[in-house]
Amino acid sequence: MKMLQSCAALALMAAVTVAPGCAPKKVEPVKTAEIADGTIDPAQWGKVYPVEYELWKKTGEPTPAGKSKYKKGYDVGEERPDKLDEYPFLALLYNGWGFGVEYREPRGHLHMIEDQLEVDPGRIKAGGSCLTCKTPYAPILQGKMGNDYFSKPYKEVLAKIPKEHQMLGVACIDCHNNQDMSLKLSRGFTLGKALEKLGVDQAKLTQQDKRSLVCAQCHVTYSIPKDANMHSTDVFFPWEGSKWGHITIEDIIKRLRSNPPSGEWTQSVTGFKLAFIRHPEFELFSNNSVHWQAGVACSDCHMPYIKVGTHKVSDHRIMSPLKNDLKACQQCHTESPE
Amino acid sequence: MQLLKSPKAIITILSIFCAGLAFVAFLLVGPPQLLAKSESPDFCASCHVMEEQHTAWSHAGAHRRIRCVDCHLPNGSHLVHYFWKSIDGMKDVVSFNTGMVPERITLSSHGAKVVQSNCIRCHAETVSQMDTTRQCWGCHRQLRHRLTGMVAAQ
Repeated sequence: MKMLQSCAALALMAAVTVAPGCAPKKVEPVKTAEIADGTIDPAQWGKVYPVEYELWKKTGEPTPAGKSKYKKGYDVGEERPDKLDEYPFLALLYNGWGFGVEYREPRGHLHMIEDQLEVDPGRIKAGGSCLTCKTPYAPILQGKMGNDYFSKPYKEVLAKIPKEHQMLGVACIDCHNNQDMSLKLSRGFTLGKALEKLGVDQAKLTQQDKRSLVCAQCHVTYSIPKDANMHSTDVFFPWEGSKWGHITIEDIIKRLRSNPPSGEWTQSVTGFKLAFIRHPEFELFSNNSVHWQAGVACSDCHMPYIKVGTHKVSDHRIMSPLKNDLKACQQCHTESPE
Repeated sequence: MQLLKSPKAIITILSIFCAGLAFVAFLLVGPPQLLAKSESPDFCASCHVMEEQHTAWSHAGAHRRIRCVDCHLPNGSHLVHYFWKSIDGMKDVVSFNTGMVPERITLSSHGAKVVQSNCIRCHAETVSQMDTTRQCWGCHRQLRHRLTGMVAAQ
């Protein structure tokens, strides 16, 4: 009896001492709705995250003119320039290739597929492969259609997308997990395979790594190898021989030159079958650039945190930091924008 | 042993113990206010090696109004707070009096975790929609003592 009493007393004392020691409950944002698995429609995601959704929609708007020397593709009040007008010699060099016909800088993320349909059809001759970086349905289509996804004509593969989403550019599901908004790579069949070539353990990627890698799903150079009939067979990143943080143009060129199917087009004047390097943005940035060495990710500059109401959210209006009055730069650099 | 078991002995020991507790309580929260004083920035700066950090803080911006312990000690609950206060305090006493203080005092990895959780504690609403796995001061660099602009050395 006495034993029980003293045990009870001890337990009570312990509870009284430890209870005030417990920390207050963590602040959790109120979830207004659930996003079902596999929801591609960004408006559904927008019901739960209206701020980011509205910002993402703003990528459809033109950006201020005159602030960036190179990024002039979609400026307020300006005509959309064609690179071939700026550098006329490209029209000769690229003769026989879609880029030699029309080389206009695309508009924001919202207009991805519209821009593809508006540009000269020679640019989408590679077929369904062209949709890899433009539609959220790409992983589904590639999984379902296999090789046909790459080789069938663009419009045919586009028609397989549900009608209401045929003009939908990459959206929430391409970068985020619908359950907790953590970042996830959706392009396993391109970036996933490329990361394996680099020997990167995808389970060990940090949040900061993924803040660059979700962009690297598309803002990289890629090769669309062709078969004997010049039909596309694949989309791959020519990263063989490279390492994480050291993907060099030299390695890319070596890989493309040693791979005959990577000869995507025939230059009409010389008759050479050539490969093509497109916008190796992630490769060049991650090859030990100053900001890469400081641990900066793509999203730190192109999607800086902004204050909306009482919250800080990543600015989902992805654009050039120069056009954003260098707001992103001021996070770390103390100099004024001037 | 016999002596200790007698009721008189137990009462004596207990009363000495309670008196001791009362005395300590008096020192801490009574007029001497030792507890409050040991939470103040001036107390932390009383060790001269902390002068650099104290100077930098005293010329800083928004965070000038809060004390060293508001960032550098866990503030989730009183128990945890005083627990770590004793540990860190003792560690400081030993390092300082044995002279084992590095030239450039930096935050330990546990210290970094504590500071990060305090950032989130005060700014909880603001950062509720963003990733907090990275250290806040990785981008908000001027918060660091040595980078507020008051200290010449990096």
